Amino acid sequence: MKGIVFTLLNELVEEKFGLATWDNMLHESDLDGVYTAADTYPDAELLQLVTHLSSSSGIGTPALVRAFGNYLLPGFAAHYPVFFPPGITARQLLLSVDGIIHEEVKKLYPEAVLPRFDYEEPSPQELVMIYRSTRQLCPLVEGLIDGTAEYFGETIQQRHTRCVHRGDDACRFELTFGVTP
Amino acid sequence: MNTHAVMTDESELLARALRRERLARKKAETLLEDRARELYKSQQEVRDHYESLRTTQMQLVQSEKMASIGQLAAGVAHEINNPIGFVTSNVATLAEYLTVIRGLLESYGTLTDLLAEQPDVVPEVQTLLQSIRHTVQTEDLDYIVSDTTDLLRESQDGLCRVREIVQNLKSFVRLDQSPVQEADINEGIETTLKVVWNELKYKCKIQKRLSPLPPLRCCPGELNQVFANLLVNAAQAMEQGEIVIESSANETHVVVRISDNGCGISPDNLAKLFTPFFTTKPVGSGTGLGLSVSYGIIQKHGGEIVVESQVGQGTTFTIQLPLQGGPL
Repeated sequence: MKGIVFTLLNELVEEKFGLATWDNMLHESDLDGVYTAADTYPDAELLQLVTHLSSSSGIGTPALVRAFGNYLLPGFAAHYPVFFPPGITARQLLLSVDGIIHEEVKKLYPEAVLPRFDYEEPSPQELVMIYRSTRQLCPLVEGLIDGTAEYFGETIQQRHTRCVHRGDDACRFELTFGVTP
Repeated sequence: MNTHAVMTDESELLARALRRERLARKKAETLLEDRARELYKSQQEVRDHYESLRTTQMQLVQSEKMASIGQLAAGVAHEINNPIGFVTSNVATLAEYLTVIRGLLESYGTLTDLLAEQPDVVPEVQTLLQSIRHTVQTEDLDYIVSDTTDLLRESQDGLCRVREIVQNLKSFVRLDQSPVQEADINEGIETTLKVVWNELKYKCKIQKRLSPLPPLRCCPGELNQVFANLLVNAAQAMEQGEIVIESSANETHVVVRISDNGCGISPDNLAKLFTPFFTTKPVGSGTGLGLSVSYGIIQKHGGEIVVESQVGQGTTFTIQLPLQGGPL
């Protein structure tokens, strides 16, 4: 997992739960917590940290991961403004994830293991995102979609109709834009 | 007390966070340096690839140029060959006719002299005799007769040269097929040295470093022509100097190297060296075909001819001929 995810998790925990919680999470997980955005770290470290946060905060892991996804989006926008050019819409950003953003990430970090998104566009108000990743972090995708809607001041209704955690081969997110949830 | 304890905890927390940040920064700096090094390395690789591409492109352009010039030369050689044939034949016949005409003119001269001495020549004949004598004197018939002989001889020489050029062009484009046989290249070098010795003997010392060579499947006559071209060129590049002829063989090739310590070749000329009709010799003394013909011959043998030169230092030609599988 790229370091940017860890540094943003660090920021989130410090902001929402305080420095002591982050320090405690590292201590409990026996991690040094030295994270830089450009480096790559084992996925297991993220899992350990989130598990500890879940148990210490009493919030379930999926809800935490979804909240983290929501927090990640403006973090990405701040770190990588090139992917958020003026005039871009939430739909356009979501459509650019696989073909543009991940392509650029690959140029910078050829070793990065990235999820794959396939798209269906049934109508201008609808978008289907099919998510495939060995990490199976679909709550993170849900949070990122929430974060995208918030960032652009739009409303996106999402329905997670198929899920790897329910035995499907991929996760299917059916999105409708401009609908008040 | 509690406040102090909390403050201590907080300052410890902050100290730990600061330590983590410092370590993270160091790590980021190391990453940055590693990336910079990788970037430099890949830039270096790109530069190397670019250089090798440029060299390859130059070689391709050169061989394309040679191929198109070769085709042109083949056409020219073919077209020139026929008219040169009948012009040569006509000039030879003209020379024979001239001998007859000259003999006849001498007889006419004697006849006019005899007639002029006769007292009873009719006036019409007398007038004609005077007119003939006048023309012979004013037009200088003796000079015309002797000059016509020279003109024909020079024309024959010129035609011989044209024929030689056509011949060279034909061998450049491999129109001529000389027999392929197994030969010792060292023997070829020795034979060629004897042939061109007159051109070399007053100007240069020859140093031979010939190693025993395995027999090579080749057209020995053509390779000798290459050696002759290189040796004569080397001699022409110097007032007094030395030519070193080396031969050796490795597992795959026979290598012949002919070096001189003559005037050298400028980089500009070096690039055009194997181009047909390119010559730096004065007009009339070089056809500009010697090296292009040599290039064609070496190519035909599946080999390579490479030249290195330093102005004022000398020139080295290296010929590599494959022992196996060279196209002939």
